[in-house]
Parts: sequence; structure tokens; C-alpha cells
Amino acid sequence: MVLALTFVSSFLACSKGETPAPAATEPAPAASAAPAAASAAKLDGEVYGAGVSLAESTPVSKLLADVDAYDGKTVRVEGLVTEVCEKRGCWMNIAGDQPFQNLRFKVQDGEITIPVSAKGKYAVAEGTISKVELSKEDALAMREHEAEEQGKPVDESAPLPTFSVKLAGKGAVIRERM
Amino acid sequence: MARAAGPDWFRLNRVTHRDVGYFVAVLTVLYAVSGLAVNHTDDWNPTYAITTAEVELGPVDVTDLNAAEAQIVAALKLDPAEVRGHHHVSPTELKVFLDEGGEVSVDPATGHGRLKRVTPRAGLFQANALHLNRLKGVWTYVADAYAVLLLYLSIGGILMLRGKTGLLGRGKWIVAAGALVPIGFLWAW
Repeated sequence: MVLALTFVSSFLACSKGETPAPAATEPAPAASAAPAAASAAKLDGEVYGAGVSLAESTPVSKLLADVDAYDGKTVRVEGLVTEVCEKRGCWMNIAGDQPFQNLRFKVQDGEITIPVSAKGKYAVAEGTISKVELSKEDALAMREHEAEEQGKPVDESAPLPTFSVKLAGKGAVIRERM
Repeated sequence: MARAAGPDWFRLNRVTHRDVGYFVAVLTVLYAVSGLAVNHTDDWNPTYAITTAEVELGPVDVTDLNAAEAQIVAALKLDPAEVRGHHHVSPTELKVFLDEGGEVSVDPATGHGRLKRVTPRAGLFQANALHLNRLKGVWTYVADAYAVLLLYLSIGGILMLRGKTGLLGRGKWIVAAGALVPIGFLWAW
């Protein structure tokens, strides 16, 4: 069963060229490359922006399960980098600790540039959780934009999200492996 | 009447302007080329060349994702050394990550997918890194110094000549015309 969960990352934060993160769906039995547990990571790797100051990571699944509780709060998350803004390096998607989850780490253009080569690496990132309500028009536009970016036809059957979640990035540390 | 003793400021400015111009010529060209490139980011990727090829792999069993990754790598004859790992994005998408931001994205049920290769654009990648200060650190101060030199070239340039063609002559009208371009756009904005 595919749940109509609406945890998606914001497509509003970047201009043309940004791909929204896919909607989260029900966890499947098969595990993905997400971290086994959130913990104080050994922070070796390339530092971006202000780096990371918090000692403990919050699991993405926990954030997405109670977005309202985390809205406006500064958190640290970690996980595999699954997608990067290819034109401006102004966002990256971080895989959640549960299958089929992603959280978008969005930075201000010019302040931090995430290289495309970060894809497939492991990121520890810090920022402020932001929840954005989506109108039906916004959600439709986001779906179309995502399909266009990925060169895929629009999936009309997919449930429309009602809000998006992003992590307004302050800094990150990215390394080769978990 | 004899000229007053002391430095000839106009001559000094000409000589300094010439040599500073020589000094910043290469960086100015790099910044200008990068500026042209990034101005049109909506239309193309100014930093990376990205190629995508459709691939047909046949159904991929995702019960064991490591085995699925190995199946994809073997089917596409990829060099295992360039493979970084995988991620099960959704029930209809499995990704295998490659070096430099490349990836294979496959629908496990159909085996239809795309192989994406990412290559930094030679020259532009480096020019953009400098122009957009992706290097950070010490380069920030180098870029500051370069900006100061550009300021000097601009101000020194308009003060270089005396007489009819100088700033007090027709120069002032040309400077004003140049200033009207951004002012006009900002006014209309």
C-alpha cells in the first residue's frame, strides 16, 4: 500500500532547476542506504558553510513523523546524499533512516555551494526545519516540475502533497562513506 | 608659464592604469566568461556537462539491494571502482551512484532506466569556482583585492584624459549614459 503521506521537500526554495524530493511513502521491507541510527557522528570530511555544531542527529523519520513539533527548530540530520541541485548547488536531498524518505537541505545561493560530486556521499547537516503549506496549484506545479527535471511523464495517479518540509541549511560536513 | 614642480598625476595614472590593466587582464576575462555562462543558468548548466542515456536492464530483484546494485553494474559494464553505493528512492526507483555525481536510475519492475554521466566543463568549472567564490578562504581576500583594482581601473579610466575628450568634456555624457542603463532597469523593475 502506498500511503498518501505528504512529507516532501520544498520546491519553493530554489528557482528554476530545482527538483523537489519525492514524497515519502510507507517503509518497505528492503533497507536502503540510510543510516542505521542517528548518533554523534565523527565529523571528518569536507566542511560547508558553518559546519555542524550540534552533537546529536535527529532521525529524519522522527522529524517527518511530527513536523509541527520541529517546525522552526534547529536540528542536525545525517544520511546518504541522494540528489544535488545540478545547476547551482543550492540544495541536496538526504536519505532518511527509513526507506523511501528524503529531506531537502536547502542553502542560500552563493553562501554554500554543494558540488554535484557529493551525490552518493554521506552528509551530516544542520539547519532549521521549515514547513510550507502547499496549495493544490503549488502541489501540481511541483509534480510537473519534478517530472520535467527527471525527464519522466507526470504521474497523475500519485497523491498530491499538502505541505512540504525543508531544512534551511546552516552548514554541513560531507564525507565519502558513512 | 612653467609647470609647477611635482608629479604628473595624469601620466602616473596612465602608467598605473596600463600596468594594473595588464595584471588583471586574465582574471577579468575569466570572470567575464563565467558571467556570461552563469547569466543563463536557467537555460543550461554552466558548470557541468550532463549526458543521459536510456537503458534497458530487465527486471531487477530488490530483495537484496547489494545484489541489485551488482546486477546493474554488470549489465551496464560499469567499472566497480566508480560505484559509490545505492539508494532505494521509491518502489519504482533504485539508484546506483557513480563517481562525480553520475548515477543509474532504474525502475526495478520494468528494468527501464537512465544512465547519467556528469563531467565538469573544462575551463568553465574552474572559472565559475573563482567567480562565484566557491573556493572561499583566502580566495575571498584575493577577490576583494581584485575588486579594488577594478574600482581603480574604472575611476582611473574616467580621470585619465583632460580636455574635450576628458571627464569634463564629452566624457561626462558617456559616463552618464552608462549609468542610465542600470538606473533605467532598476527604475522599470
